[in-house]
Amino acid sequence: MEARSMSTIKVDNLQTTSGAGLYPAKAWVNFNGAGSVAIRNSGNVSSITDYGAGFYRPNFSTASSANTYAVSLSASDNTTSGQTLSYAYGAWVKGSIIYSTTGFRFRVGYPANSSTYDQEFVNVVVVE
Amino acid sequence: MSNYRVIFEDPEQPEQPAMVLVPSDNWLEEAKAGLLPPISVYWALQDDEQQAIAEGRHDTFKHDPEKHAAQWTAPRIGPLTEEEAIEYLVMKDIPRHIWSVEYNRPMFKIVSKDDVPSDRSFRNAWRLVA
Repeated sequence: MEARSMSTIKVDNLQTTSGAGLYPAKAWVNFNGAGSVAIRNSGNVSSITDYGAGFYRPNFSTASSANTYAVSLSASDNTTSGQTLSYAYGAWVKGSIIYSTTGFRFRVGYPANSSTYDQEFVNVVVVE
Repeated sequence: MSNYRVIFEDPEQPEQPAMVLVPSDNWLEEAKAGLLPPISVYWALQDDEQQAIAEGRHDTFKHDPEKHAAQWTAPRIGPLTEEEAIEYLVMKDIPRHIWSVEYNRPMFKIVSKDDVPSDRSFRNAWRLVA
């Protein structure tokens, strides 16, 4: 059998065979927000801006068409000194202007009192 | 993994601690492979969005389709070295007033990642030392 490979697929819209829309992630990133902040892996993210303790911004490689995308955030920490083992902290986005087509700022910690903490595992998924 | 980080401060937000820009290795590979458009493509998009914010219409803002598509359709600038890619990243991901205006002290510095403390104690008190 002849082996074939395809490196790039270019389309304007993705659909199932029945015509339902498919919406792949616009961007995603898994990074270490504690110690030396480092990106483990990412898609369509050119960089992370580290603003301070538990305060970050993923910068998109290519800008989104509008600032109305949806964001899913999670964070946890297994090893950082002083953190509760495997405790999943809240992550939140504050204010509408924070959503830009080039990225968005978010915080990790306790939303109830706005305390922010660095976390070892921070995950972001953006869908547009 | 890139050996570079960019530390910067925002003169418009003097209470904000020093910020650290951490490059993505996947993006760096694209830069080295020559897949990036001219930086002016991103600036045009940023300008349009800033204009929308200034005019109070950011909540419903959408990019002009042609300008947005230029991210893919504009001619590529060719392969960059890692150092050139970091300079490009500064101009793309750090607000323009930080690196394009001359202040009485440097507002950003490209450093080795080893120059950034791994101990984040007092992180919210970090300042850029020129």
